[in-house]
Amino acid sequence: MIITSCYITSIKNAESAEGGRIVLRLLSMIVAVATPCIIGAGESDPGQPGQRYPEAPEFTVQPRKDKPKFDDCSRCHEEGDTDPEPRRLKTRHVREIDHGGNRFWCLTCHDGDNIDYLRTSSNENVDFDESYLICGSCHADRQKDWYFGGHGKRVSGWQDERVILACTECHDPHKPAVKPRQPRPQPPVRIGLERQENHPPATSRAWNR
Amino acid sequence: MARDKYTKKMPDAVDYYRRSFLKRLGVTTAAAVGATYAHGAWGGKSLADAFSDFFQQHYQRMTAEELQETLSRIERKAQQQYGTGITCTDTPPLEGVVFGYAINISKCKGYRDCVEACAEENNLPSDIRYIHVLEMDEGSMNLELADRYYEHETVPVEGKYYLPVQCMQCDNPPCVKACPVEATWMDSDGIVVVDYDWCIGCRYCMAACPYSARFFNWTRPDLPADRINPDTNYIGNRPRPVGVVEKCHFCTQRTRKGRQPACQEACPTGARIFGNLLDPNSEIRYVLENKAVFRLKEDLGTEPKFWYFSDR
Repeated sequence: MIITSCYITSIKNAESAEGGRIVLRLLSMIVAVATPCIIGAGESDPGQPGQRYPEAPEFTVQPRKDKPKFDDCSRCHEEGDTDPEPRRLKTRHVREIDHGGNRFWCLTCHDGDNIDYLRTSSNENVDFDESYLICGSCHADRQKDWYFGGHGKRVSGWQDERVILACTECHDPHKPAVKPRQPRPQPPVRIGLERQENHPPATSRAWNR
Repeated sequence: MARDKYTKKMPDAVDYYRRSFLKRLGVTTAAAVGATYAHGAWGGKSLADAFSDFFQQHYQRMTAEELQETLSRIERKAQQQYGTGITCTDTPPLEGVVFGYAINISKCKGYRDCVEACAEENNLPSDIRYIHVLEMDEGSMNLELADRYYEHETVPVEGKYYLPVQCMQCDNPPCVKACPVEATWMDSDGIVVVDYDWCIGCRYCMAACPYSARFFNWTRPDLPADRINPDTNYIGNRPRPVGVVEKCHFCTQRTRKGRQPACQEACPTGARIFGNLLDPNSEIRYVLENKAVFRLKEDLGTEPKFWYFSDR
């Protein structure tokens, strides 16, 4: 509570427009950090996830929830029926969680109390379409690149509004490594040339390659 | 707009007037003989088209009317040669744009999806591919030992990495310097383009290019009618005549209308990042400013606008 009152004093001092944004971020931090203390352990009141890099160029993430493959957890789960005990699940669940070196289980990322949502390590409630906020809890460098366009894929034109793919579009969150795949056919050999095996440079002829 | 700029640059050469006089004379004669009558001796074209083809100006010297006439002639020619209707447009470079490309070699897995998408988009004949995906030994940059004909059950292969090579759109392009007839030049958006109808097929540019990024049409491009991409432009992906050189042009028919190049759209891993180098908020600028980027054969001073980087 002492920490909370310190924050509030600093908020009162902030006056500029930029200060206003800091105030908002501080408020959300207070909600995230201080609420468990006020309400008491066990009862969580998740805060709203914040935009991690406000200076990044604006973007929208291509939604994934409306795809036919997507299934709401609440189709089977009712509110409050999730057993928080880590165990091996069989029916209708992902069998292997090959992510994080077997240290993870469902409720590391899924929110047990609100099964159609995810939860960050700082206890923020996150929609399935904002799953990138979860990934950044561990992969902060990649997440920063993704916000600015150094990782991930832009699906809109280079001039249009920026629409990018979510992390989970390419990486299965339960098994994130990209699987090997068959390549497309070999390129044709130019007319008049014969394909030759690669030789050490000393004996090779550039026009035979 | 860009056309006026080009046209003004043209000197009042005697040669130009002789050329246009002959052309007018030819067209008039052709109209008199029969404008629509096609004959094998004229390449299956009407006499008027054959004459206009022969006297066609350099792309940068054509007036707006001449260009329109040329574009419709190209459409007629494609209909006659390939049996399919195409639309051929003029795509002048955009103002305030210089295009750049970056490839994340940590993410490229050698699937060759870009190669195929490029071939479909750009009406490539079956023996030409603008993109070579080179399979390289991990830790090596020896291009002489690169394999572009690799064939495996699955890629990536352990101990290898993949380096896609295509036209680097050099800022100091040796191919442009080598061309004796100025059939290839760098546009204001940094793309090196070819006027296929002005090219004399000497292949000096191919010898000058250190990236093997230019290709010669030894035969008339074999394009089945159902495989032709009908959305074409003059300077880019229209069907090429036999005996001319072609190359990657960053999909001018797409990128000059705000779209991504076909290879970027096809890449399943998101390894390809394309954008405007002059826009400080663009993704390509973020990569150039925050990643350890390198360029191929940088020591040659060709100043490619094509970078490679890795996640590490």
